[in-house]
Amino acid sequence: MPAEKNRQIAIVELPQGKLSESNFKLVESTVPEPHEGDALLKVRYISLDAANRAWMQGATYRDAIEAGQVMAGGAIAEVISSTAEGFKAGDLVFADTGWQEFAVLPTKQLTKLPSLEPTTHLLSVYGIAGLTAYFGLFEIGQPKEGETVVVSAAAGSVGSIVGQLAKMRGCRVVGIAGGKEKCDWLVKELGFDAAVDYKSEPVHKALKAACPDGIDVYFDNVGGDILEACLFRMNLFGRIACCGAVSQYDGDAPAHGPRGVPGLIVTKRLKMQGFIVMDFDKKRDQALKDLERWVGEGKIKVQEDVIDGLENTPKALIGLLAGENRGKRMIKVA
Amino acid sequence: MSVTNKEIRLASRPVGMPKDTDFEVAEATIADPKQGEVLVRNIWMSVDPYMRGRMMDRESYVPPFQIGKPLEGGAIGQVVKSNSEKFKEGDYVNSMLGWREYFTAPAESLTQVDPKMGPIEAFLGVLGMPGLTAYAGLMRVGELKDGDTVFVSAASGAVGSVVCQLAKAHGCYVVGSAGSDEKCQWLEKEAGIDKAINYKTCGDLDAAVKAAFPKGIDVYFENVGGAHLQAAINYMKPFGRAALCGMIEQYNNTEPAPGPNNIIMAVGKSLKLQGFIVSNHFDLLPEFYEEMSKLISSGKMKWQQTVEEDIENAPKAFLNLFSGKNFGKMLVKVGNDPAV
Repeated sequence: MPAEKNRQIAIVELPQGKLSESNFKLVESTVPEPHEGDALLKVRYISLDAANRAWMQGATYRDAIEAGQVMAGGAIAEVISSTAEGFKAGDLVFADTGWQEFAVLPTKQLTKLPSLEPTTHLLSVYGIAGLTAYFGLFEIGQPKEGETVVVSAAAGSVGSIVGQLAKMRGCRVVGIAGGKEKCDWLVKELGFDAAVDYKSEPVHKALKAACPDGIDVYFDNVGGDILEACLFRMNLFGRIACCGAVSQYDGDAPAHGPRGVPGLIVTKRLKMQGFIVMDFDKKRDQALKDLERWVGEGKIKVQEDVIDGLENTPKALIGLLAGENRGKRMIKVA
Repeated sequence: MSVTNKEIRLASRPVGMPKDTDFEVAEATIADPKQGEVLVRNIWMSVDPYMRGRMMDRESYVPPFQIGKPLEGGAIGQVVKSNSEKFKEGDYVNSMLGWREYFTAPAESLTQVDPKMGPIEAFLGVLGMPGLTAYAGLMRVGELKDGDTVFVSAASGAVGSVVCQLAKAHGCYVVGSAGSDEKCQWLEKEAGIDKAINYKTCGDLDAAVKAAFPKGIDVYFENVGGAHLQAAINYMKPFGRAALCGMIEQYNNTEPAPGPNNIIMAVGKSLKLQGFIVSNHFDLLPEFYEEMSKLISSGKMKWQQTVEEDIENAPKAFLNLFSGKNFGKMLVKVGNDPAV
C-alpha cells in the first residue's frame, strides 16, 4: 500500500516535570514496507495507560523512551498483509505499535486476539487492565472472604475491576478516587461498600471511618501519600500489591517516600510486592476464561472511555494522568 | 529461703537517644518457687536494639515496658531450686526474664538449653533469637537460592553476621555493610564474605552498592532502613526479595522517618519487600538447629561477642548498641557459670 500517508505522534522532547502537549508532535511519513517475517498493521484502538508516562523515566521491564521516536504504546491492530506464517490479512492482534496509524512489526511481537464484540473489551477487561486486576488481586493480594480490600485509582481501568473482583470474593471493598461523582459511581453502580474522595477529605481520617477493621489487602495504583495513609491502617500480615504509582509518574521524583517503610512493614509483618502482568503469562488462559464468564454473568460491569482521533492522544494521556477518566481510556484511530 | 535480687527498671521513657537516667537499679525480694515453678539464677543476658521499641508507649508486636517495672529480654540461667518435674537443680534454661539476677517462673514458660551444642551464651546469639532471625529472614522470607547475590546491612551484627555466613554456606556472592574498618575486616577475613563496605567512609553508598553488584542483587537482608534500603531497591534484580528485619537507625526517631522515594521500582522489577518477626517462625527451629550445629562444628559459623560484666552495667551495654561500639552480639555477664 505505498504512497499512503502514515500519521504518527512523535515525542519531541522528554518531559522535565509535568507532561504537556508540547512534548509531542504530529508528523507524517509514508507507510513502511514489511520485510521478511513482518506484518503491516493498521492500528484501530490505542491503549492509554499511566505506565506510558513511567516509560519516559527510564528503563524498567522495557527500554526507556527516547526523544525523536514515535511514542510507544500498546494497541489493537488489524493485519493488512503478512509475510510470516500464522498471520493473514484481517487478523486482529495486540502489539506495541506506538502512536500511529500504520506500523510494521515482526510477527513474533504480535499477540493474536480472538474475534469478539465489542472489540474495545480486548483492551479493557480482556486486556492488560483486566488481567492486571485479576493477577494483582488474586495472586499478590490473596484476599480471603470477610477481609477488607482497599484499592486506589478505584475508578480507573484496573481499580474498577479490582473492586468488583474483591466483592465477588466476599470482601469489604473500599475505593479511593478523586471527586464525588466517581465515588458515588463506585458505590452505587459498582457495588463498593464505601469510597474515599481524596480530593475533599484527608485520606487517613476517611480510611479510619471506612475501614473499621483495618485493611488486609491494599491494591496500590498511586504510591505516595495515599500509600502512606494505607500503611498506617494495615492489619498484621496484610498484603500490598504494588501495581503502579501514578502520583509519582508525572513530575520530579519526590524528596522522600512514604513514612513507615520499612518500620511498619516489619512490625506488622506486611508483604509488599510489585508485579507486572507478564509475570503471570502461564495463568493467562484461565484468567481470561474467568473474566469472560463473569462479564457474561453480569458480575463485572465494564466501563470504557473511548476518545476519537489519533491527534487527541497526547491530550488524552495528560488527562488520564490528572485522573479525568472513568474506566479504561483508549483512542479510536480507525 | 528467699533471695535478694538486683534488677534494672525503666525509670522514664526515653525521648530520642536513651540516657543513663532512663534506667534505675533496684533491689527486690524473690519468693520461693510455688508448685510447678522454678527459681533461676541468671548467668547471661542479652541487650538488643528491639528493646528500644518496647520503651515507647505504643502498639507494637510486643507490649511496651512499664515504668517502674524491671525490663525484660533474653537470658540464660541455671535452676537453683525446682518445684517442678520439668527441671532439676543445675539445669540450664532460656527465658525472657533478663535484666535481673534471679527470678521465679512457671517451668512451662522456660526452655532447656543443651550445653553440649555450644557455649551456653550462644543460645542468646547464633543458636538463639538472632540466629533464628537470620535463618528465617534469609531462607523463608528471602527465599534464598544457591548461588544468589546477597546484600546484608549491619552485616557484622548479631543477625547480620549469621546471615552472611549462612549465605556463603549456600554458595552465594555476599556483600555486607558495616560501620568500621575493623568490622569490615572481620567480615572479609573471618566470616569469609566477598566484599565489605564501610558505609561511614565509602562516601557515596549508592555508588558503592552499585559497584559491588555489577549483576544486581537477588536478596537484600535489611537491618537498618534509610539510605541502605534505597540503594538496595535501586540495584535489585527483577524478582528480587527484600527481607525487612529491623531498623536500628530508626529506633530512636521520635517521628516515623520518611521511606525510600524509589519504591515505585518495586512495580517495574516485580520486587517483594516483606517484614517479619522471628516469633512467627519458631516452626523452623529443628531445621535451624540441624544446619547451625553442622556449621558451628565445621568452623563455618563464627561469631564475635562483646561482654559487659555485672548486672549494673546492663544499661551501659544497651546504650552502646546505638553508638556502634559493640562488635557482634552484646551480652551482659550477670553471674558465674559453674561449668566454665
